Amino acid sequence: VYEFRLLTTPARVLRWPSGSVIRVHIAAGPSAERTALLESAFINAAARWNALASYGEFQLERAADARQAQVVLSWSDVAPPVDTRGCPPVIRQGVTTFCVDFNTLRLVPYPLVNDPGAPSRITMLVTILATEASSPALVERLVMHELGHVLGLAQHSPNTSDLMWNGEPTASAPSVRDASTVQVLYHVRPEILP
Amino acid sequence: MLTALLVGTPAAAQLQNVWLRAGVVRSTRLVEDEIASGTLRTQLGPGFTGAARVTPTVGIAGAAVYEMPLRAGVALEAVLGFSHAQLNATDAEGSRNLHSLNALHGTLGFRSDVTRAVHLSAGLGALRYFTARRGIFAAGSELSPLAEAGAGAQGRIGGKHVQLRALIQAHRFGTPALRRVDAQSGGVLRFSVQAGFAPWRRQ
Repeated sequence: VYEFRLLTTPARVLRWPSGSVIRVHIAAGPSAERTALLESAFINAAARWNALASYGEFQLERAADARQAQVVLSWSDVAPPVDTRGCPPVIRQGVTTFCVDFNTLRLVPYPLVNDPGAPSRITMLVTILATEASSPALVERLVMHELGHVLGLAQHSPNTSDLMWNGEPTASAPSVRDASTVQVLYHVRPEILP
Repeated sequence: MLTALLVGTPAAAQLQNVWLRAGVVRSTRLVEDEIASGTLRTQLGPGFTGAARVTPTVGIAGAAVYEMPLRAGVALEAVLGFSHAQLNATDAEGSRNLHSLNALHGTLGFRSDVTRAVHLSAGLGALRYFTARRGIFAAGSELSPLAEAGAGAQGRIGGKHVQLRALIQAHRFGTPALRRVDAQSGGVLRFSVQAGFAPWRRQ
């Protein structure tokens, strides 16, 4: 098991309440092929992570409508359906972005672009660098890695063979160590809730 | 030898019988997972919320029983049984329904009459769970050896042969997914009460 707490001061456990269904909206890409690539990467990644929720601790599902989602998955060259000005993503190969409200110890929701007055449940953005689209296998690994962060694995593994290693992921599925870490994470009391 | 046993004597053949039974089943927990080792628990401190358990709810059970008398007061029983329940996980954050859990089992055993109305039974066989390939069943399930003991009563109601049977079953439980994380197999007990009738028995 590697360190999974968010590097705040002090370090805190960030995760969804046990039993959560975490709905992920996939923003339409600039082409049907790019959208399909992200969709298939998400389906594979969600299945891999969901299989590790031995006791129903979490379930990643796709949300067709952004208003029903808590997470948005998009390409870096596509504007997501939320206003990111208050908490913009820092573009890398793959990145999960969220901002913490330290008064409430909850994540700050992103306002919906098309419906700014409506309550938004979106608190996390997963952004995949558009230039990586030329390598579908890498996109699959990047999405899977970022979904590990979405679940609450807020740090990286020091082991190169783990999916959550701090570098370009080479593992095509969560390792036994990734599985044990997420299992332990979901049996430690959360201190920051998405 | 087996053929001779199954065919029996001409008199016994006349008393070969099929029972259909239905009832409820309750199982002890399938899994108790401590989640973290002792050292890790110490490192995690009071934030660690402890073990998770997986237990089937009370479910429905049914069985088709082929019965063949071997001698006075003793019969061979071949049982094909089914059960359906929900699988629940419980930890410090509550109880969650995971998915449904079906099981099929088969046993071969004996029934011995204690009195005209009361009997005891025992059998050996195997059980397999059939369920969604998720969580502890993510890598499927496998056949487990099963031992069964029972006590029952039978008689006639409205001219029909009826039976009430209380059963206890014991089997090992482990799945490939659990073994992958070095979990150890444990024992499970299933308790069932079933009522049945013999639809084709005339005398």
